[in-house]
Amino acid sequence: MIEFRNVTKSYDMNEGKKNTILDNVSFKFPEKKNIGVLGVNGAGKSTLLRLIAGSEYPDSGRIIRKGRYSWPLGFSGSFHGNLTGIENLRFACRIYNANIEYVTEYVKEFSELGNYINEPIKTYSSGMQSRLAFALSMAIDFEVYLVDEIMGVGDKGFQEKCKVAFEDKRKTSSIIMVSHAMGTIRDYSDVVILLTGEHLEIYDDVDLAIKDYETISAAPR
Amino acid sequence: MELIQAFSLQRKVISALVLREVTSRYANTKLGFFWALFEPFAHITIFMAIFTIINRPAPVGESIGLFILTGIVPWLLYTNTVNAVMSAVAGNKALLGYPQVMPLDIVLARVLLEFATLFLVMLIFLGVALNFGFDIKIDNFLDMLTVSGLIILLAMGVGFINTAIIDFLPSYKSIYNALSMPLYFSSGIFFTMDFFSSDVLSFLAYNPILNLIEWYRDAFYTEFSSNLFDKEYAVTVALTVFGIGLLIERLMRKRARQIGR
Repeated sequence: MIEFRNVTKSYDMNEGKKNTILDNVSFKFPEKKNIGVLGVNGAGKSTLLRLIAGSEYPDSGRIIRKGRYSWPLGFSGSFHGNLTGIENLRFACRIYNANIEYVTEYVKEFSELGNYINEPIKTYSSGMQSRLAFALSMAIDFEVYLVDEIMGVGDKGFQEKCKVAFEDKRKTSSIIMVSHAMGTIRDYSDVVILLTGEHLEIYDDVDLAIKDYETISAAPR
Repeated sequence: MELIQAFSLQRKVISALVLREVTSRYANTKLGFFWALFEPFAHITIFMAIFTIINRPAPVGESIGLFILTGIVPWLLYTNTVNAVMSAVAGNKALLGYPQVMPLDIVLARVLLEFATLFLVMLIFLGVALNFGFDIKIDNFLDMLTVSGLIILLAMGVGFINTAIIDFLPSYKSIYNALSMPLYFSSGIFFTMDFFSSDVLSFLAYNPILNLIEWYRDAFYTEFSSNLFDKEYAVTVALTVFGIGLLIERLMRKRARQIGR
């Protein structure tokens, strides 16, 4: 369960300008549904995900969250560059109370990172980072997975693997995801939230949402 | 109930962070702990050489080395803690992606490690001194711990305040570095407070670290007891600075979490 109550969030930009992402938004996210988040560049999709996760706080208002939410799985990620894959994995296990041995085995098998798992994260390509993030989050059970753009990374085989893993979790878990790839949004989402700049709009019809999004993003700004 | 949960979560996060710091500082690089030992060793050797050349005895006790040790350990506890606080968040920015990791947790983990390291360093040096046949009797261990605690609080306060100032005025960092040199020479690492005439001392005594190091030695040595330091002043300054620092940390917390900062 996640609910926004009068949430306002903005960013300080250069030259004292402010970029408002949410302006006094009250919103209850639909439960047990996979949600795709769409919005033009800079509309604040990643920030929305970070607010949902609790990695960032609103300027004002409250965010009520019940259940086990993942950290935002994205490129700006939670991995520490100087630590190896395994060390990062252990850190996550400790703070999420997960069994280190089980998670290590699962991640080694799922991520296909091979010996790279013992190398510092800063030597990873973005594809490798997202493979590790995915594998790790799948090994630690969450009720809601927050996925920031990293879906659809990696080769076809890995993408299939992710899909199957998510299918398995469908009964117990759902996804809130940000993506620029309409195919991915179509594949995964039951409903779509469109970030219009300052407000959230919810669409039960995914195709209609994509159409509206395309109109907005094509419009001159 | 919620409070207990929050505490147990924070304990888990902090212990994970301590382990993470230990692996990156002491396990992955062999130089890490060597440096922790070498730094005080270097200070001690240099001052022993100076004292011997100018032919002066140790201000307290028989051993110059032991005298410097009881000054340099609290001093390093101070500066290392300030630096640990100032670099804690920058060095672990990525980990703030995990919602349950708070900037304050990162700071606490580092400070804990800093304290544990210097405690161990102190033990090792005292062990070596014992081996060389020095008679070491600690006068008041509890007071030594109290002083260490006050130093940590003072240093954390200074660290938080510095972090905030640097955020708005980056050049302050070099100003602070320049200021720490005179502080090093006036904090009593290689002298006791009775070295100065009363009018010089009335000015120098405003330095809380000078008071704290004098107190530390008072607690360490059975043969030394000083009435020149002001316990009440040291406690007041340490707690006040810590309080201001915590307040500033709270105000800056939202800022610290934002991506791209």
